[in-house]
Amino acid sequence: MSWQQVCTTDDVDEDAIEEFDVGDITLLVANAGGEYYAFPPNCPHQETPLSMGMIEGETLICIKHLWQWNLRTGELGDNAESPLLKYEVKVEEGAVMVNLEKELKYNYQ
Amino acid sequence: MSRNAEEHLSPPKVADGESYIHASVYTDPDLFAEEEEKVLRRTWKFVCHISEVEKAGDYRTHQWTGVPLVTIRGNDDKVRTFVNTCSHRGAKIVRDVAGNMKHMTCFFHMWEYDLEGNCTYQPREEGYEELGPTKDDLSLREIRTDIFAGLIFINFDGNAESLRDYIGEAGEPFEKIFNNHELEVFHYNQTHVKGNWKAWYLTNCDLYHEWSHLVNRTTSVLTKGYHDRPWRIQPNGHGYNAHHLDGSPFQVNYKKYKSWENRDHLVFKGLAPGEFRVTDIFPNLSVFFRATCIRLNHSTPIAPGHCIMEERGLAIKGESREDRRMRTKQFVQIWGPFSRNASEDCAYVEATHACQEAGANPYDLMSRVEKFEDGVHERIHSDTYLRHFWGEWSRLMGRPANNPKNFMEAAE
Repeated sequence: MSWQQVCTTDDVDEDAIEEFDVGDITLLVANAGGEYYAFPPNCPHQETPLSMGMIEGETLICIKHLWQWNLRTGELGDNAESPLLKYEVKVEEGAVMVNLEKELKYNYQ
Repeated sequence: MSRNAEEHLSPPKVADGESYIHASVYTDPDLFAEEEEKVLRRTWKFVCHISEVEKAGDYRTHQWTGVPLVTIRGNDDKVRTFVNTCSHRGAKIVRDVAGNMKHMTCFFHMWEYDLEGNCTYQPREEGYEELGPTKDDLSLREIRTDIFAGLIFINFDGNAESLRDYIGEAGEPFEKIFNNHELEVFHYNQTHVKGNWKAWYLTNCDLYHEWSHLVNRTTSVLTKGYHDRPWRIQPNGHGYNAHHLDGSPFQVNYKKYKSWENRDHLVFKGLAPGEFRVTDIFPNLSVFFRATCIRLNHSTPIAPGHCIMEERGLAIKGESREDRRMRTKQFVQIWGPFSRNASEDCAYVEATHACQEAGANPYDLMSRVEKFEDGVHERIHSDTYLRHFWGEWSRLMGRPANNPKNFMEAAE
């Protein structure tokens, strides 16, 4: 699989995070101020579902230990000790397209 | 590497021996009995709010160290507390929790006492003429009672310092605000907790545990400046956490918790929108502000592993039904019996007590130190207040909290 339509822009409200399955891949799509981002479903720290997380501006926050990442730049924010993996995303005529050539996975201990 | 039994039972490897306690302070029956005598009967203990005994004859029954008590407003408008037991055979006189009465009548032989504690009537009184005593010898025992900012306290110790001196500067975060309004109790609930009373109180004082409450993580810990608040340690085991180091208020963003609204309406005069403050009055009262809500929380010890936790919510007397409804909603969201936070706190206290009672966890750590750049003040996630509490407890008990049983054995 390479570029796949995961959802439409209307499927994810502003400042919301929604979970989708495409084939065998589960991923989250976040709408941060009209920009769409896609990433694996769990936090790199302790596998907490990031679907329960929060979006503040461009920042994604895991609610367990408040690890934070800037979704646009990928920069680590407060508390975060490791990076967030992100899929490539493009929006075409209201379709949220994600490059799913390879499933992104964390190497949990 | 995991630890073996010897390592597990050895004192924690910390630089300061006063930064941990031995779990027996929560579980040992001898220490519990001694604590009643040396700590609980010698310090000022919160009873209720003045609005609960508003008119002459209004009363509130309670108990402290097992002694049944009644706090009642007299015809002279003075609030007094009596040992709630008849001078005749010792039956409990006032048997309801709260109410109003013109005099107190014992249900056993119908002896009667007035609101000032005088014995005023005995059926067939002439039966005592030959041997005595007279009614004057049979008045109720009065316990010292005083009021600070509308909060009624008692003290079994007739020689203790005054309530105002006892509270001192620890009253600063709440006294003025309490006096800005005519307040009344609008919410009350109590919960039997299978844990030690100190563990309940110290959960209130351990702000590091805000990590555990989802509400606090999302509305507070995430807020800018959250960590920039110092503990203010006060004499007599008190402390508070009220402002940032620069004196500005800490404002919680309640809207960050899904479906909650911000608290910028109905804020008590003297507080900023969303403002949070907590004051801890030794040995067991915590006074909380959450902008629109005031919480009085304390616990009554029953046994080493059993206490009764009481919640009181204060609101402005005479406010509209609509305002009261909103205030009630915001109070019970966080502190009601079915709220997230109060029930989560019960779970924490009971979880720790179960392990301590089984001897599974011999020590309780309080070695967190997070200082400001000034090297003096400690941030809210420091265990500053916990060390202060146990210092005061150890002083009153004459036993170190980190090794009370060995000390006891050595003394014997």
